Amino acid sequence: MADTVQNYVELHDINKNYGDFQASHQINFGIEKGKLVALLGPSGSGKTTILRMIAGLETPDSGEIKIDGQVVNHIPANKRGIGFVFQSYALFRYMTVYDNIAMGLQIQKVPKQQIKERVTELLDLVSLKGLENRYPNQLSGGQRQRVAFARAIAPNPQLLLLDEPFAAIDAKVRQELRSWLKEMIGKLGITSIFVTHDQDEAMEVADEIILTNRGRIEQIGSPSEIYTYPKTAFTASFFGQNAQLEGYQAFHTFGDVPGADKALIRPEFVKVYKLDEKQQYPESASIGTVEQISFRGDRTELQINVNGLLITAKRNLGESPIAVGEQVKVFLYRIFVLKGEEVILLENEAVNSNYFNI
Amino acid sequence: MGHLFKEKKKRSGGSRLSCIAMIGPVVVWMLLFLLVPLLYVICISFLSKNSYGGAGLPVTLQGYLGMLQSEYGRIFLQSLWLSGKTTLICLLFGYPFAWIIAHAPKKWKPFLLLLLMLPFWINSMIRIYGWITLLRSQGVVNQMLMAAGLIQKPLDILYTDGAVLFGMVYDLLPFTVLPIYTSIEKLDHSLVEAAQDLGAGKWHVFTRVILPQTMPGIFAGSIQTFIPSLGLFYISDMMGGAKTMYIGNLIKNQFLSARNWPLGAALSIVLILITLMLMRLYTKVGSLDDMV
Repeated sequence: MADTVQNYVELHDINKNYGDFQASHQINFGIEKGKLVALLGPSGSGKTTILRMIAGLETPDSGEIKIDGQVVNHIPANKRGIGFVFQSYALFRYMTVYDNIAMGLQIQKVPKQQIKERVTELLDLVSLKGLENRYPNQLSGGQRQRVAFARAIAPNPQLLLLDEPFAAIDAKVRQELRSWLKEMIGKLGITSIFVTHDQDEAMEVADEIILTNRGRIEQIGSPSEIYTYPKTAFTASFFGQNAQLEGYQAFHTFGDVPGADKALIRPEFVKVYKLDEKQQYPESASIGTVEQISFRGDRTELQINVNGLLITAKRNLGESPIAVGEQVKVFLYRIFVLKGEEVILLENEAVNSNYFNI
Repeated sequence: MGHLFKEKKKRSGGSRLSCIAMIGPVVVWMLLFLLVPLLYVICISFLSKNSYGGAGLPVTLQGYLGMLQSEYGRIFLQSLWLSGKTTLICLLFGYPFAWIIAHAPKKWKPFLLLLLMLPFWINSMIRIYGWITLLRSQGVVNQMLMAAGLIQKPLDILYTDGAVLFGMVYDLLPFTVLPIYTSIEKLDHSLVEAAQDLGAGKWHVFTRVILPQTMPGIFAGSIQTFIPSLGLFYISDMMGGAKTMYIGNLIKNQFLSARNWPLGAALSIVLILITLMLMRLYTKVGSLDDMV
């Protein structure tokens, strides 16, 4: 990665072990000022450990953490000036909403009047006006989350860290909060890193995704980049609605990758035609039987059996309907061929005569 | 329908019987050994002293009116003051003590708690006798200090107010430590981290996060120390040489030597009322514990 000066946060060769468990292995990345970055990965992949090391709540065994050009390894958490939003919010239960938000400023010994102005401004910002005298247990999950957010940004931190900020909130509110948080962070222009295990959340909210797996970084990139051009087998299988194909050679006009074991396919790679529908590349289609149809509102999802291999495909509502048991033509635009840790994007040769290795 | 109803009635009858069997013994125990003696004491407090050193008719308020003597008021205040000091010192030592146990390595904790509970296995009065042999003028401590040449003549350690305070703290410290230990164990560490992220140093973390969270423990510990300390008469008798009078001694004396039972009973009732008020406070804080 380019070692540019304008990176606000930089991690160099970070390692962290808990006993025999390798939580972080050779972690390297940089984050530009003002960016909203997602640390994405399955649980136990070490994403929270990275976040906690940046915050100063954990110490790396080796490596360097730089914030704003300064090495912060030996600066304790309370001197780093970082805002942190905890997964469980960690609100002070014995303090009112007002006191929770004011805490950081009170510690800095900011004059009372100024604290009052700032807290009022924040209550307005997070739409919690009138609730300042409530205690956290008198608030809903979403409200608590917003208090935690206001508390974290009250002392004007240059960096905001959020640990699974939406995990404890029910699905409907979560959707609202996601867009709210993205908008809020954009408005404040504060460099932010949030941890999540939800790929949709990461793709929707983040400017950049850092994908972690088993203590290592798999890939860093923008959501569209990382989704469309996965560099590792793990990345390819983590994103999207993947189905594994054993023996992709059964499908027509794909090049051969020597030593490849399996392939991944996403529903958007598949195009389904009824037998009487016109098709661009007739020689490259295979014939399959529709086994199952599920209605998904804006589209239907088809499970198609092609020579014993199950393929998931989507079909828009506008297209002529297909019934269970019907024979259809199946055309694959592209597949991800996995070869060990490597992933090769294979385009159908009917579309593109050469495949390329990314 | 009728059949069903019968069935139901029979079942509830059965459960009532088993209910009586379950709580019956406890009720009988409480009636015999708590309520009856308490009523007896209340009765005595409204009787008058008779010539044989017991209590008899007529019914009067003599016992309560007798308490109004300035002497007794001073003794009450003295006792409250001693109990207050005892509680405060127990807190000052007990809190770090509880903290150390709570933060000790896991395999050490049961052992440390055992050490804390160990004194309860021996009668408290016998332990106080132990202190007397250690602290008296010819006792182990004085002899060692003299042998070491640090002092020329024995120090007056025993039979001072300081010795009484020491004995009280020694006897009651475990009652302070245990509830505080429990509240420290329950501490939510993420709140400490949240405070650190907000810039809190050690002092702020302690005063703004740890202290409020352990307040229920501190309160419970204080009351569990304060209440028994009010009635501990034998420590001031044995270690203080009965030089300073406290409520406990006063009550004991009214029953055993001064032979003024109505006054002793009235004093007991007032002490019980004070205790009940403190207990009420305690349960209030108990409900506060749910919120924290």
